[in-house]
Amino acid sequence: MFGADAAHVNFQFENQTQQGKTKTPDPLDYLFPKFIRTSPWLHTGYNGSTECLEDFIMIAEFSEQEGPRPVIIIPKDGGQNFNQNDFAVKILAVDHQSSIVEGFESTEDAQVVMNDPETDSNAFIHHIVLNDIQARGYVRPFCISYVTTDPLKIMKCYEEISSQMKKVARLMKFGNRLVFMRDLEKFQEDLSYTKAHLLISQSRTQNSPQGDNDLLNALNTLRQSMEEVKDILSNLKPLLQLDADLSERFQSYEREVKGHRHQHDTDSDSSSLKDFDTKDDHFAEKELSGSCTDRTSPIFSLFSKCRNQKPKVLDVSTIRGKRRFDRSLRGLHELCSWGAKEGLQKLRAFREFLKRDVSSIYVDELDLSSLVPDCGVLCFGSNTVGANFLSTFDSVKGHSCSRRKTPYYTEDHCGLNSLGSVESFKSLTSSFHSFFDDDTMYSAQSSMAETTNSAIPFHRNMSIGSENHEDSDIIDTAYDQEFIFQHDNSEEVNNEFSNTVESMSESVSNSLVNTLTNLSNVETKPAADSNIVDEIEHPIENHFLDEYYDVDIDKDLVCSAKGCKCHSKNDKSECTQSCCNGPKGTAAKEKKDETVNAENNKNVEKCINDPEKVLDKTCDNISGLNGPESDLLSSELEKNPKSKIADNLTVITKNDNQNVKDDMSTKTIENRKDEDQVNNRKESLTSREDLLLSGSPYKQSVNDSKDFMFSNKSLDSGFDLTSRHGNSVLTESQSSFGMSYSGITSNISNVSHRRSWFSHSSKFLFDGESTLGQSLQKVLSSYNNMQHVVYSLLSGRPVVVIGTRKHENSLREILQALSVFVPYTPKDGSVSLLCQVKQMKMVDIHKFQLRGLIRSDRKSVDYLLPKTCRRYLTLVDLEKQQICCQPYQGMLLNFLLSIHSKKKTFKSDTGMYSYIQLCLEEISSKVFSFYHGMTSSDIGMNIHGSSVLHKSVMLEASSEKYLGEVGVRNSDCKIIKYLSEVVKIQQIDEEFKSKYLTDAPAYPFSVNYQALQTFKL
Amino acid sequence: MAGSFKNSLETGVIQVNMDGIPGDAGPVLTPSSPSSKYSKSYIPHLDETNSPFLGVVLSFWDNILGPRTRHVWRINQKNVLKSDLLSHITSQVLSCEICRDPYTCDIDYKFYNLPHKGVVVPGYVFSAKGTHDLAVHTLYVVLPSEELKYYLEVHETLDCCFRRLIGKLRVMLERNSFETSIEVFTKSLSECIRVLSLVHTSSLANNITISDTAFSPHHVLEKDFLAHCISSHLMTFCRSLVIGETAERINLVLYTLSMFNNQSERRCSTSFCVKDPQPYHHDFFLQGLIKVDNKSFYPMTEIVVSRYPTTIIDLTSRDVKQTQGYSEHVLRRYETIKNELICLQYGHFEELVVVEQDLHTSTAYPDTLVQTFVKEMYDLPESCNVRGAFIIQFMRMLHKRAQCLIECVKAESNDGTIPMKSPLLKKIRNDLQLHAEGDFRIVLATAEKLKPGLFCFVKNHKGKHDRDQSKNIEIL
Repeated sequence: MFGADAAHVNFQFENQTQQGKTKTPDPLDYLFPKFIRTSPWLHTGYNGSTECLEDFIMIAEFSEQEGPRPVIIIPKDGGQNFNQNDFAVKILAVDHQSSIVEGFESTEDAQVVMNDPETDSNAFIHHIVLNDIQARGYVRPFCISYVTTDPLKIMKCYEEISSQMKKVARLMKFGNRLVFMRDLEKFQEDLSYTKAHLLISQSRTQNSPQGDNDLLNALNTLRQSMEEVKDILSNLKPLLQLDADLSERFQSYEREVKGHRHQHDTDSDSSSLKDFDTKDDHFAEKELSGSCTDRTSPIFSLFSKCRNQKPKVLDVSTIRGKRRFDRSLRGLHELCSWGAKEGLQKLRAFREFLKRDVSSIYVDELDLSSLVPDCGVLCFGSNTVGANFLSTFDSVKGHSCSRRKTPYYTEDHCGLNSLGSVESFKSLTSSFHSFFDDDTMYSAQSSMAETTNSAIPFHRNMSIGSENHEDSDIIDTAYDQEFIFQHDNSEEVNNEFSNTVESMSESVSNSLVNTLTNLSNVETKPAADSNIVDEIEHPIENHFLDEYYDVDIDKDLVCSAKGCKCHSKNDKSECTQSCCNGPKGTAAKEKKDETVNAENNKNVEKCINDPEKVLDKTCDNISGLNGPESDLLSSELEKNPKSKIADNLTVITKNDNQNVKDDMSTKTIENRKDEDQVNNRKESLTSREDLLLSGSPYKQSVNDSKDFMFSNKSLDSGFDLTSRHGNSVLTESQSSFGMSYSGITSNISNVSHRRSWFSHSSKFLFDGESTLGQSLQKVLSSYNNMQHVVYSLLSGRPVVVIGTRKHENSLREILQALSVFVPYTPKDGSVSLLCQVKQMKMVDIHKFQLRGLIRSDRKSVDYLLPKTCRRYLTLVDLEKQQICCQPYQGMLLNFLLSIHSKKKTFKSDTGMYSYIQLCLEEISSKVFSFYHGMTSSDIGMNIHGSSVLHKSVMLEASSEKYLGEVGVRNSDCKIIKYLSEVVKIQQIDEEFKSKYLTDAPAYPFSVNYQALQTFKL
Repeated sequence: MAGSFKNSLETGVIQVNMDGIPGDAGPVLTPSSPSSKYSKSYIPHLDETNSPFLGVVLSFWDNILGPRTRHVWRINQKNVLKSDLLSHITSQVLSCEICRDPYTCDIDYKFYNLPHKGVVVPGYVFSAKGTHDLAVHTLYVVLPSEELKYYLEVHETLDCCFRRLIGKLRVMLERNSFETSIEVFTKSLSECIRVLSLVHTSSLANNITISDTAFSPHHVLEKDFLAHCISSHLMTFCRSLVIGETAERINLVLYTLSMFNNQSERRCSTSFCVKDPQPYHHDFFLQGLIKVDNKSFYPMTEIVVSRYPTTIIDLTSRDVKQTQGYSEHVLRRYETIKNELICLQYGHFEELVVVEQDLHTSTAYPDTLVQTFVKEMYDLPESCNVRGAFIIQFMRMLHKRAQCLIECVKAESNDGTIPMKSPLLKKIRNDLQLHAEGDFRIVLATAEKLKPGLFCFVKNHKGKHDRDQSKNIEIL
């Protein structure tokens, strides 16, 4: 403290000399506040420069050797204009461990918020204490701090930040305790070994009084140490048992690592399917040797004792008192093992979520709160909530971010305890809901839409024209990551497991997320998120693949039975049903889910048992299909400049190594193979190839599973099966090679669609330099007459965008932009992009809302879309630059016109995107009025008894009248009516689900023919 | 007590005095030191049972003893703050302030969540006169951990209150002896603590449903008047003072307006209670006052020192007025607070009286947003849920608009580096269809709450006049 005073005086002195130069300060100056004009964006950074400081996370420790020091900064280049050392000193100046306790006690965490007007920064700091057997007092104080310049963010999002930090702390502490316990146990063994050694050696040598004394001292020290260790262990063990779920999770990681090692040792010959494995094998080996294999030769395990490790004799003098301070302390990764990886990953994702503007966080939150009840929600595209027609007022969550409605969980799960104890262990059982929870996910997603390289490992219900299980598959692909270790720039490279995993996983999540957002087929009902999340997470458990990527541990922990990756036909219906079931998931349903899950497990196992067979089959298919066209395609491929694609790769992975990308693809394939994990290294190359191939338009397709009738005889389901191996390229007849689903050969289909999913997504990624907003901006400004197309979408008329391969990029862009306007319906596959060869049939029309078609040069538009179909479709022909549609005459969509005609110009794409969302909300608001105006009117009552037809005519008339009164005319009427119909259908659906536990009867579909007009695009 | 202690300090003899430690201090493991000695007082006229606070503590960095508790205002008699807890918190809050410049006028905010102590502690760090010289002080509030949620809701209001209070305390400590200062300060503090305790139990945050509002068919409120109230309310950052003759009418309007506030804003709002009428307190969102003698007297000082402008709704005369726009309000607020401190410095402990200024009538800014909203609202079926949903929809759209505005201003001004000129602003307003001045003000107010500084950035093109004004303030 006296030293502190010196510092104080020194500071004062400096300060005075500084001030003396300018003017003599009025001693009473401090009494009166200064007038500060807050600037909305500019902040005075470190050393007085005004700069926009992006939010960052800093992990700092109080090192017993150096004092406070920053350890890890997320992102790597974060906080450059910020004096990190000063900050570390400030936040770690006080010891947060609870004062005086006897014996070993696990310290509770503390959370601190502070603001610093000098640097204009606000920080949230979570203090944790880790245990380290090498450290003084066995403790290593760390803190995780979130630093932002936004004055509101921290307090507005306090609960969210707090719960996230607690989760991270929980992961780290659990990992740390495991490590600590292993260390202690080893230490204990060493101690007893030393004791025995001492006794034996003493008995052998000559006795002398001096020697006796030494021995006595040594034994005393040993005894004390042993007692201490015993005491700590007895305190520690119950703590570890508290968190069984987490321990399971870490165990699965460990198994995975072992599996990899093992597999690498033995399975190298099982890759007969590849003929280009050598290079990759080498590559893999190199990587592995840097990490897994290089570790302490007996596999280090957190859970089981190392068998081969022999206890060693300790130098008694160093046990007590004579500590060595010359060696460096262990890093965070060494201290926490898996916990550090997962924790850091979570932090990265969380930062992406929170770094956004408070306004968008807040607006997202409002959107989320209006998603309940979900059957009254009118949604557009991926993340526009038009309106909720049935809000219960109570569900409004006004203020804080974290207290979101988590409709899928009962109160005890969604944990109001987030505000409870900060002690991550104490609160973990109840308070753990992450921001990846259904709702928060949603907001994360919308952030995605705004930021290109956001890394929120977040996925939403992107029912891309296929059953939900497919979603889970893709996500799996991204989740299931293996451990590839490379250098991260974080400071501990010396640890056993390198940090790469995080960076890799970040990139995976990055790309995944980007993909998801960029996918044109984002037709979503956000309220269903948690379903999907469940679904997604489950497979992971089922397959006990290590998802490095943390889905959401807590969810895993809480709810353990929903959905499955591998749906067999038998349980499919049941599954979908359980998935579709809204938030009212009752206990009964959960039970059912469990049974479903069990079934699924069986299926999975079945599939696992004969992966080879499956692969063989796939190959057969391919060889059977390889026709003359294969040449054509391969030539196509060559034309495709690979370098360009490689460029793309770097674009996407931005900060990350390109290897990471490759790893991701490796992952895909690995997952494909699930447990059998044959020779992943070789596969990595395959998938790389895939990525390259994906440059070819033919490689890309999103399924609409039912769409593909094609010559695959092996599958009676009539679905296309596609899978490419090695250099085999797809024939044109395989055009639909996208997702396929087959109940019988579920594994095959998993394999194939997962992979195509992946390549599909990566392709989207490649295009995805443009965000949703950017593509909107581009499309709306560069194409004429888009209002007619949007009108079609909003009035339920299917839209087909067709073009040849040349137009692929613009086609994607249009799809991405238009997907914003697609109202959510319970239909599957409403947005898709595919390469189609066969004719479209009338039955297909109702299956989609927006579809992109890439046609081959040999098939004409007229062939693909026969006249009969075309009447009921809106056709956007990129080649002829034509739109064939019903003309739009009205007011509601005028905003599109004014954007096109540059009456409105938005400098930023996010601004434009939010404006379009706003316009959609305005339309929804009109629909809201119409819907309630109509449902409340008593026309229905008056005509009771008359024929159905008559009734409908009457209702029609009254709705026209209503709309006329409100001032809605022409085409706008159709939009309003259709959108209210959409909500009505959801409610009917909901009714069926809640009452009869079945899906609603067939989705009503009406086609109406109206004279078409052709517009220039 | 503090005086005698001071003497002992001056003689340089540290007396270990056990008297300073409360008997129920529990297991004090360290021997009692002078640093654990502090004066205590109570907050008068406070319903302790309903107060979420445990106490308010003033501590400072003693040049010899380090972090030291100076004074404690006890609030909860049952759960007395123990000295070891206090010394723990004090050292936590003050320890990292060693290098703080004592001559700065900044008041830093800190917040501690200490679960092992079972408390959450919002605190403010500032410089004030210590026992001898300027010292870093901190004034912190201790709440039990369970009240964290409540605290987060009242955070903004408490922040405003405490910053004002601390300003006063600093001046008092500078001019007067410690005891006098504390005595005077207790009055201001107790007022603030009392209101904040009140909203813990009875605020508009609980149990207000749409059936209590004017949107329910059971209540009648003129549509046009209601629209005026709502639009002005939204323009003034959801802050309104309702003045009327009967409590029912006042409350009806308060309840109705509260529908447009978020949860924490409702928490910081009080309904009007006939039995226990509350004086107007600054920085609360919705408050009601009964009209006395048919004369319009507004608590102008309190209104002006509030963070945001206020709408004053007079139910008898059907007047909807609002204080100056936000950019002027900010200056005026600063001016008033500073004047208040200057008065205090010259020994006037009384409230500073601010003369009533011209208030705008809400019709000065016609709007379309709320007008349309109210019209559509009354077209809807009278079911409360539907109307509730419609309000939510309206507020969502309003926030979306605000978000658009923020995005646009950000993009057009290149992250705030290009000053917002009229044509640019016109373009933005045109893009977002905010042609009506009222609409623009409503959206701007909503945006300002999410992006502090935006309002002044956008609405500051009066330029010269403003600068002159701030210059005057500097001279003052």
